[in-house]
Amino acid sequence: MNTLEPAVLNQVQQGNQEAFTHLVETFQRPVYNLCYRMLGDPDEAEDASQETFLRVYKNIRHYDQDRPFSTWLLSIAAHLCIDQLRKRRMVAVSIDTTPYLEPADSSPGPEAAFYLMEDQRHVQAVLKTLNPHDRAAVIMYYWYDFSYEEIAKSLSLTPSAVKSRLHRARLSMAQTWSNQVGSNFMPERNPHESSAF
Amino acid sequence: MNHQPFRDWLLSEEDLSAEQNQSLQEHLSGCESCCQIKLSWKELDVLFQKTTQVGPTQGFTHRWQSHLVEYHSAQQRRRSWLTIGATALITIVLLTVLISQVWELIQAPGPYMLVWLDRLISVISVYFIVQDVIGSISWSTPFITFVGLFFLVGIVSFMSVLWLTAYKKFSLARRVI
Repeated sequence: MNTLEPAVLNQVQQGNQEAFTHLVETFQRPVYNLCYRMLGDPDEAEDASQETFLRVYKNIRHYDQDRPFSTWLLSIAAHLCIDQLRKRRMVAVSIDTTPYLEPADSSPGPEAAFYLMEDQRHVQAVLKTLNPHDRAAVIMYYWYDFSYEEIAKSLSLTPSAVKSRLHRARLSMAQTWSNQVGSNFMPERNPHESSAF
Repeated sequence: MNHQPFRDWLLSEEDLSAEQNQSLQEHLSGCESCCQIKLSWKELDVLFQKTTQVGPTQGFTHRWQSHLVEYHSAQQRRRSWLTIGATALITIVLLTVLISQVWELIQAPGPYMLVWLDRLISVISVYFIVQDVIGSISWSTPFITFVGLFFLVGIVSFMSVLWLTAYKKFSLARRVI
């Protein structure tokens, strides 16, 4: 997880625009990733990330430096996404669009890139089956290495609640995966795509 | 069949005791459902491990800066509308008072003038009473004449207008980036 120098953080709290731009550059990827994993749509993830940084900008004076900045930042992003998911609970989300993937060091060929994209699709399809709070807990645990306490603080839950939510989510995801792998894992098919493939 | 403790152990990230492990293996040998959960979770765990973070498209910071400029413009517009609204409200109240006074004057000019004359005399009397009270407290207090007081109020009003103008000027939209 990226970190920010305390001096830069002080400058940000004093309203220094350049320092804030540096903050955005540093944390754009983790924030976007969280939003994308939560919402499953690149455009919505972009909007949510921008809104997250705007909320940080408005509330940076209230940030307590004793708390890790990344936890505070991702907590804002997670709550924003949870609210968004609640608002559009009944609206279906397409996972056909895949966000920009930074190429790995080994520069994968088309085949590797295809598998990478497929992995992303599978992960999104599994995450989509979880409720917003469970999804946020799973994302923070597996992509950000947050401890139970950090997740609890970020999502305003108790550590034991986080533990039980993670357990429930693992079981649910394993059952989903088991069912979908059994049916060749076809999370979503394009309407124009032939069923022969 | 009761799967409860075994599924907890399967999905737990804590190390199991030798007894628990043995009990789990015995259960797995006879439970296809738990075997399937174990296999699925293992595959998913591997998938999570190898799935990297996704990043936004190029130019995210630039888009953020534009977003921030828009936010500041919106804030400025909101402040301007609030100022206009407050000014309009004050103007309407003042106009209403003025119209009602003028209406009274038109209806009955004589009694109206008498009321105002009475009020003016009251104000002057209050002024002299206050001056006497202050004068009795300390003779060293600077003497303020009625004309001096008139100019003092004028200066305070002028300074207020000047202050409001300066505030408006300095609170205009500033370039953020």
